[in-house]
Amino acid sequence: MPWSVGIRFSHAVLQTLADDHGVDLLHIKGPAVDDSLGGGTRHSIDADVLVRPTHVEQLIAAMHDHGWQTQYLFEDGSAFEHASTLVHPFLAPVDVHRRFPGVDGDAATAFERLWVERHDMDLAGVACAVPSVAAQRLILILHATRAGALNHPDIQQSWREATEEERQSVTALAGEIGAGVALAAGTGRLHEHVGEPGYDLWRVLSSGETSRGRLWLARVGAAGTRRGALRTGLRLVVPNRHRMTTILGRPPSRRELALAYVASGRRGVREVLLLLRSAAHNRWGA
Amino acid sequence: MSGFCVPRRVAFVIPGDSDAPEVFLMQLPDGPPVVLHGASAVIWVLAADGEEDVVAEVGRTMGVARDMLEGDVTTHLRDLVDRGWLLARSD
Repeated sequence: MPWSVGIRFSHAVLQTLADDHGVDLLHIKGPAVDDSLGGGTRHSIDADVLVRPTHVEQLIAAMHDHGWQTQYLFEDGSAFEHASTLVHPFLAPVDVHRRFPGVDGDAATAFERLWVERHDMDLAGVACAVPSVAAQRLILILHATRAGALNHPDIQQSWREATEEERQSVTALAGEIGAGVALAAGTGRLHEHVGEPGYDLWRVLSSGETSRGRLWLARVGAAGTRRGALRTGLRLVVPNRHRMTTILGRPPSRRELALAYVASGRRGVREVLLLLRSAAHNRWGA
Repeated sequence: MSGFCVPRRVAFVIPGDSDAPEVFLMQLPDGPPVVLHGASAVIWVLAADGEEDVVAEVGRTMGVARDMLEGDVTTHLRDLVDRGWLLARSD
């Protein structure tokens, strides 16, 4: 079965499970994108859905009852802990999002804001709920920005080629759900947000930064609370047992975990030290 | 019987990049998917599209006289209904 067919079937299955179990979800990215933004021509590796946060457990339980297995927990994914990946014997993997990186407002409130403007799109013959086109533009821009791909066709199509009215809709929506900083990072207006929470993080992310140290500092800085910063910091340094199990095809041994811990810690610490030294060098002009 | 439609819990994808007629079908939510090729795919698509006289349309599409294929097409349509890939409308 072609991969593109499997992805459409995954969307159709998710909508059916959502209908059967009273779960609210929105299909995002890939074939769920409006034709005006590239829609059906997109090549994806998985099916993405954004779920009402209070319905996430219910959806995942329903998926488990129908042959899906959790490959990555929310905590195993990115530092944003925004999505869990589930796999199936013959369908395309699904990324279940409980929030979207860049949307800093309350996740439940943000979902509701997107939910009220949803409409149906036909995916594999099934009416699937998708966000408004303005919300789709915002999601595509945030996704490309997080990857540091500011010249990505999605930003080109969703922002640079948009009309002034379309841009205003996207900007207004971003403001309502706390995505103003991330949107600005993707659209060349980040300087308007200097000093705001998330500024440093999105400045680093949108630059395509690959230094673990810089990313670590930016994410820890954006965590907001001391507890959040500690959790984020640990997440980025401690090797992920679940991910190692997936890569190795078996649970890692204690020795492998210990070695990974040391290697990961060394890499992170080395880069943070280099970063601090470079900052001191610039500050004192030595 | 005055035509067919797709059952509510059947998903279908007609790949746009395939040279030959092909349609993938799946009972929701558990599958498994199946694929119809060639004449079988043509018959399903025409029926699913609401074509009232599938036999005539298949004949036109494939350039074959009606009496040469009526029996086979009717049997195949019945089989698709029995397997749950089509729903016969009774209106």
